[in-house]
Amino acid sequence: MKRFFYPSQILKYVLVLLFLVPLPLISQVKAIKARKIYTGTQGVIEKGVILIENGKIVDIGEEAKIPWSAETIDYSQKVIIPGLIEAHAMRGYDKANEDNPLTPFVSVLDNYDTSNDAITDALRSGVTTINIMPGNATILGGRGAIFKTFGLVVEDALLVPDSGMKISMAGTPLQSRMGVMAQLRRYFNETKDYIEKKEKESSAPKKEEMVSTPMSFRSPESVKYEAVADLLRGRYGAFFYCPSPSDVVQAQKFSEAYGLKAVYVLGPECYKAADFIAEKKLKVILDPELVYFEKDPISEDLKKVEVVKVFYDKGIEFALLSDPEKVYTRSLLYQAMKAVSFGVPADAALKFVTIVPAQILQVDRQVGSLEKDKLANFVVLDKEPLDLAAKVEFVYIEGKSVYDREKDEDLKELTNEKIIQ
Amino acid sequence: MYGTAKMRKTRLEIFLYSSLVISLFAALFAGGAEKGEALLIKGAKIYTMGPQGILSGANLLIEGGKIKKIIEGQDWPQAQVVDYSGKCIIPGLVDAHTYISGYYRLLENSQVVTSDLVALAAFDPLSPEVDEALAAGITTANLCPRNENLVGGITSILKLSKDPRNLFLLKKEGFLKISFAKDVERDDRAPTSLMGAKEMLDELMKNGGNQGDRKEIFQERGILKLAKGELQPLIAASNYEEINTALQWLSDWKKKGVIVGGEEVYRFGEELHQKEVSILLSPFLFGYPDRIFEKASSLLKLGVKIAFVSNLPEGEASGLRTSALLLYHQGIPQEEALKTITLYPAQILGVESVVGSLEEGKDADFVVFSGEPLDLSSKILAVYSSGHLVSK
Amino acid sequence: MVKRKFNPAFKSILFLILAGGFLMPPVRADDVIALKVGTLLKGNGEALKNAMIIIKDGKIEFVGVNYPVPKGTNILEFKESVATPGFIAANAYLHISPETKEVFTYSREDIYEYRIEKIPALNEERSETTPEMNLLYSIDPHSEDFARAWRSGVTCVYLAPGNLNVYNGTGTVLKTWGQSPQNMAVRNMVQIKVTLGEEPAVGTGGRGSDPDLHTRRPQNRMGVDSIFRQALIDLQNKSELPDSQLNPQELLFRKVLRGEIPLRIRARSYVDIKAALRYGEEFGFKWILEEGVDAYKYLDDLKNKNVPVIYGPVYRPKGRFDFNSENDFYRAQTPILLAKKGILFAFQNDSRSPISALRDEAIYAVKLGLDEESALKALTFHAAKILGVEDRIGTVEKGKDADLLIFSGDPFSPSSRLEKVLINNKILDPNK
Repeated sequence: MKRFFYPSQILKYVLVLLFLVPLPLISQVKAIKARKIYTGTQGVIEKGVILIENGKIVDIGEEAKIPWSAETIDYSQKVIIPGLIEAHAMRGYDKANEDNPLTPFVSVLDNYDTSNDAITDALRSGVTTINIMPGNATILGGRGAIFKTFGLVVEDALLVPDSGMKISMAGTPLQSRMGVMAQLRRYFNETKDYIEKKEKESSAPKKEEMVSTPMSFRSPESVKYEAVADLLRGRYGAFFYCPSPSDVVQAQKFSEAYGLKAVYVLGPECYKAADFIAEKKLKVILDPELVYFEKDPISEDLKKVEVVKVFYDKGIEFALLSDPEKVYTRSLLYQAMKAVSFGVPADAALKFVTIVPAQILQVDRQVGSLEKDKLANFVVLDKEPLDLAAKVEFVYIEGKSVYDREKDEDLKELTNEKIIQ
Repeated sequence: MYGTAKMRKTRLEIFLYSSLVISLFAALFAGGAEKGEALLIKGAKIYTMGPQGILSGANLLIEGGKIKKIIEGQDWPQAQVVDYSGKCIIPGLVDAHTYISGYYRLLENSQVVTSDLVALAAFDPLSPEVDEALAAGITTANLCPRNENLVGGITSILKLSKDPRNLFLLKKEGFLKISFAKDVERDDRAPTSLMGAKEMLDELMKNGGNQGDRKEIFQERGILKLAKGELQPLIAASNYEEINTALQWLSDWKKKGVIVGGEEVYRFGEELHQKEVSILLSPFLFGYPDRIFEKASSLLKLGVKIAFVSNLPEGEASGLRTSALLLYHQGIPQEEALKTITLYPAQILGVESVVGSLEEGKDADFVVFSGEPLDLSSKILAVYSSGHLVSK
Repeated sequence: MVKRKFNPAFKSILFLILAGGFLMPPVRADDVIALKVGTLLKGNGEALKNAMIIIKDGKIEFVGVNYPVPKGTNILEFKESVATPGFIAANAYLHISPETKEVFTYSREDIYEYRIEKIPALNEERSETTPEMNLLYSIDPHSEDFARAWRSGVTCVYLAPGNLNVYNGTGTVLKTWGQSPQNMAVRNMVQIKVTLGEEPAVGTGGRGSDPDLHTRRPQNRMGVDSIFRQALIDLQNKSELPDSQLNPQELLFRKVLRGEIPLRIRARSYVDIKAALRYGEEFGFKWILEEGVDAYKYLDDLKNKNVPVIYGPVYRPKGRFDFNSENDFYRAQTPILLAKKGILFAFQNDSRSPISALRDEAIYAVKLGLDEESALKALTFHAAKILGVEDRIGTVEKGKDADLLIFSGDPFSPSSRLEKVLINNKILDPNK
């Protein structure tokens, strides 16, 4: 008799089915539905969907097709914005600077503390990417690194090691700019000699060499010069801290002379160098103080300068920073709201805390906006981002939910209804 | 026999005593103005600062240290003649607030209220500062206690002289020096703040000299005199709030006074005029911004009496002339500018009947310039005080 | 056609009449300012849409919707704007003079940190009991902090001598813009400022190697307690003496005991607040709690004794603890708890939070859950009540001073811009 189904065939079909069943569970595809999605570069999507696979955005839009095997998360009452980016932070570690003015060989990778309150606070306010840099009190402060604001182990949280070399034009408190520039030039010139010397040496490793790891060097000389040599070779750029407008000009001349990639971290008085910055198209990060008060020497009246407005009106693209130490600069979204009060349109204000910092940090291929092929870093809000009452409900980094307001015990205590009797 | 002998003895005594007295007098006046001998200053352009105004080619007749006459063109036979034709003469400068020659002795540091002390005791005529002041044309000075004590003491107005025997006081007790300046506020003793200083002064005025032990009563002697009206207050106050406090205090106690201070006095303009408060200003410097000079002229235009002081040795003696010069360059007429260092300080000090201008009967104090007095290229050729040449 | 010939006299009269109509100022139009705003928040909880505010000689003449405005009056229109009364800082730490002394102090509890606390108001340190000190004449209106204040919407502040004595002095309520402090003062000799706790003990170990002015009580809370009570007990013992036989200091204390002058007690930790409550019971004076970091522990007591609270800063960076307090977060909640309990409260700034951030502090409280109406009252009406100057400022009502703020939108949104500030009959632009 001819059988309709042979046992081997049935077995095949059964096995195939068995494989298909857990597919949705092991499927990497997530679909996020939202009432409104601020993409950052492609406008606002109403009733949109973000498709995420392996931590990256594979599709985004109103019409994005959700595969049947995808895990769907419904935020259809919420608003989604790209994860915020803090372009320059001097917190999240024990001490910002060494006492020696020239320490280019140190790196924040060594003292970064993932569980530091500053990082938890950043995540809580919607920051997904943060550039941790050494402080402003040494000339060559060391190298910074870009981290995700989630992850206990430093390597897990690391996004980009060696984001840049911190150079402070102010130097140590006892120095003048003469001393700062002299020391910088000498160090850089010595490094140039060192690079030349190394290139002349044979490439064969010497017997007494040890295997090097990224954090160790071969000789005292290389300890001294390797970090700056990498800067001169263009492996990363320099972050110049410029408290006064003339520092911007000096720093720009210096980086031009040595062929450096440069980012300028400005003090509030640098609004006076806005024309120069616009002309040279410099990458700038504004001080958290968005307003600068100055005393007119003749009339002795106090003059108020809205720094953000000055830069915006000149068409300069800048990154905004937050300073959690003070109530009026406490979060990036708050700073963006303040920028609106100075005349910056809302969508531009959001740009200055998302895509522009990403571009300045050269991570815009991965983060900064919600687009195809970028990392799925986003913030789920219950209201419009520039509404004071908006709450950060969830934060996603690379497609995974890393923050849930409901589970934030610390924050709950701050706003807990239970306390109010 | 007894009577004649006694009479002889008495006559002898009289003769001895009178010769002693005569020689004493002679000695006293030895270096002084030769009694009866007159001095005629000839031919200069004289800025009298008085009703006669500016006189060209006038002659100054001096006798007995005083100005006997100001005449034009005439000669005076018996007088010794000094020819200053083509030169300029102004009255001797009056420095209304100075620590000249006694800077370290004008502060009695052990207490904060030392109102009984009189500044005269600190004066040292042989000090090189006196030379400096005379060479700059300052002939009258108001020697003041320093600003570190709340009530430093009583000022003395005197004519500057290098002769210890020839010290002439215009007023042994001039003003009561009070200070609201920053120097009064100290960490280690009361008052530690401006408001504390004001409270302390109010308390002193209310109770001064009436309570406490004998030592306190003596120290508060000056306060009593102030309360009775025998002394006028001279208050050191530079900042806005110090001057405001000073004006309020003067108002509260219904006293007319003088404020010696710095720039911020300009913020009070009209109020000063209404309250009849005179102002002594610290010397102007070349480096000052224009607005300070403008504001000084505005005060003058409002009718507030201002005078420049040297604060020697904290400032320079030449500061008086420089200040007048800078004021002149702001458009204040030359005579008015010169008055701020001659007549006005004399009026503020209350000694205008004796010094401050060149008029008959007043002291022969004057300064001779090689050219116009407010022209920097002019040099001081001679300085006369009470008819004597004191500096060349 | 007959050409009518005008009599030249008639022509000139006609010209004069016509010219007069144009040239003669309309009755009272010069000294009147008319404002039209989108929304007026009066400060007492009432709101008015499309409100018209008429101001004459610096006082509010009319608040309403329709008003017969004299011809020729310039009407300033702020169509989309929200107007509020000027903000009042019920306690302010300002530099009152460009040269105010910076005093180096340290907090004993926080032994790891030396803090340079700029004491903007002066301290008269000759004794711990200096209630008669008043700093009206120590104020220089040119100090930058006054400009920063009005540019951020704070039109009135309470200033008093500093915190280093037990009885520091009496305070002054004054506007942040004006010619001289006398002209800016709303009221002087308002409330006697008292400090309890460890602050008066700072620096009383002497400053040099030898005992000096500063070597005296108190060294700790027991000393503070004794100094505080002694002053009042002394007065109680002199109750038979008439007013004329008392010195100014004693007279002040008598007025405190009579309830005519309230005490403003600065008490941070719960120990000190409890002490203040005890003293209030013992002596029967009226008092106001200032700083009150641990006020949340005594809500019922404060409510029952009608003690207003002056509170701030609301925002504290994480990890910076105030000593003796268990929970950092309760403090940020305190304004909300006070509002819910119905306790009168107002905001202050201190050395940690500049006066220009007073509005931001209120915004933060709103963010945490304080309703906007209570927040605005705390900044305006209730602050004026606590200071005892509600007859002159605090709400936009007829007869009160015309201190107004014009915002481009909701005053509690950081995106709203402060467009104009009206103070002392002047319209100021805070953004120049």
